[in-house]
Amino acid sequence: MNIVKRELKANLKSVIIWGVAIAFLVTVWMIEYESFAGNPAIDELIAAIPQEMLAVLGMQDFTLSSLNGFIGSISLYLYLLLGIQAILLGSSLIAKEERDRTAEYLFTLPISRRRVIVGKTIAAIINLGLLNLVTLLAMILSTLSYDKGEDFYRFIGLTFVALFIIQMIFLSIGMLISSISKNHKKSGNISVSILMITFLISSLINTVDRLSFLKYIIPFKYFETSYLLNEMSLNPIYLVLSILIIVVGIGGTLTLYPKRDLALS
Amino acid sequence: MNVIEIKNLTKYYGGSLGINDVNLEVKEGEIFGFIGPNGAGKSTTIRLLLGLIYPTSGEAKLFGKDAIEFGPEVRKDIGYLPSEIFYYDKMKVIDLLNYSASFYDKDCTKRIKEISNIMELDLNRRIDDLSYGNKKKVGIVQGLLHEPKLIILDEPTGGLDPLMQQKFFNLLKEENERGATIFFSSHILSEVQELCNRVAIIKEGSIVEVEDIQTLRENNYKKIAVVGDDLSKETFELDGVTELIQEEDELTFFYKGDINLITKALSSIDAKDITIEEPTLEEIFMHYYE
Repeated sequence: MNIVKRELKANLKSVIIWGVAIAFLVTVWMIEYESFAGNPAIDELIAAIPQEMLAVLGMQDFTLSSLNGFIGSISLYLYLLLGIQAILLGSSLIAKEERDRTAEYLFTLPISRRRVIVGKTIAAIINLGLLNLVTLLAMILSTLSYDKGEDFYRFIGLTFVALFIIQMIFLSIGMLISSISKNHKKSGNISVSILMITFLISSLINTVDRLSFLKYIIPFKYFETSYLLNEMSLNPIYLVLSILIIVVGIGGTLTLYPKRDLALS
Repeated sequence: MNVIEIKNLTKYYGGSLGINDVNLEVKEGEIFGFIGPNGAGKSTTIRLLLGLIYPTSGEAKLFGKDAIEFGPEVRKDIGYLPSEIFYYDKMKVIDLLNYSASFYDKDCTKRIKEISNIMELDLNRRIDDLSYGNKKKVGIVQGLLHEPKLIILDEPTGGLDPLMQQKFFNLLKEENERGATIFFSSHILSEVQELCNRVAIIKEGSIVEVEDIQTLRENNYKKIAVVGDDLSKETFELDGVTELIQEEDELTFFYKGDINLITKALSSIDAKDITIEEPTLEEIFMHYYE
């Protein structure tokens, strides 16, 4: 418990900054929607853009004049932004003790490394949850004045569950990378590179059909809004894959990190 | 009972040697010195004891229990002061100490106050505002606040002024009288000389000698200096004489052996002045380092 508390306190500032930034962004996006709302001209405009172009932006399947369609078109960017936050949090969660050279203090206390990681992971999940709720709240508040379809709240709910799963996936990948790599400077870079590469591949898949088999390893493809909108549920295959990645990531960290030499000065 | 028991402990970092086949036993209540130059393997040994790194082969036991398998359990009774102190910069000293205390199953508030008073540590400052010496004081309080049965110190005096160092040593002596065992690593021999009962000397990853500090100092070497005209080196070229140096009218050397032989040699010369002293540990250990 003491570890959870300390971690939450240590990360409070960063959560607030991320929360404010994301809430601001969501609000701006939803104000932008005002000019799209119920305006068929925007759909005609979009229809005029080549399909390939839209595919790269991940916008090919949406009616931007409807609220659900608009939110669908921005959700990929929410996945990306909160994914970055999550993977950075995950990799620094473990690596920062070695980076700040506090490992020699923390890990000579009478607590096992595994329990330290469990505490840190709990704190990180709370951290992700808070950020998710702030984003959700910003979304709900900034759409209050718009006409909403009857399935709006179900759709929003699903989107944010999907968002949380994506956050968890990247958290656990970040943790695993930094628990394997003894070079704490590198693990942050590797983590962000992995995230950016998966994001680029996810736009490539939209345009190049032959690459579509890659979608199973690209978390950004797991909960595409077109599926959410049509089925009003999360795709069970990807749900299982997600859980698998999270279990491997966190489980791997819990097994590997306690066994390796700490990088001390 | 042995508080520390190290058997054939070996550690390689990748291909480079940390320590090789180290064997050590430290008894309950001892103040044990661990001496060697920088890079000899002192910190490696200590980090292996604390489970920060894992041995390539061999084992270490603390309080009779395996240092790795029972790591968290044995660390309840260990206080550790690393050579360089790093804490969470943004925390206040008192918060850091309370956080440390929260890992032990006892109330440490009284001891925190006592030791900080002795060490003149301001508890309300932030860690990153502290000087090197003040951080060291935080380290001392943090290492001792739970009244550990084993205190492990890695080059503990760096950054402390002589007055503080004396206070710290007195604190350690008190802890020792209370029953705590102390494992003290250093490359500064005079500090070890002041505190320790026994010492181990480590060089290039291997233990070269484990000795009682009394035996080392009393029964072995004498440091002798003779001043006089017409001194000749040949007079003192005897068995047991080392480091024989002549400088103008002064001869200095170390002697180990039958004291009568050397007094006979001394009486045969026309001397103006003679001093015979105990060599410092530094001087005794010189030949281990060479």
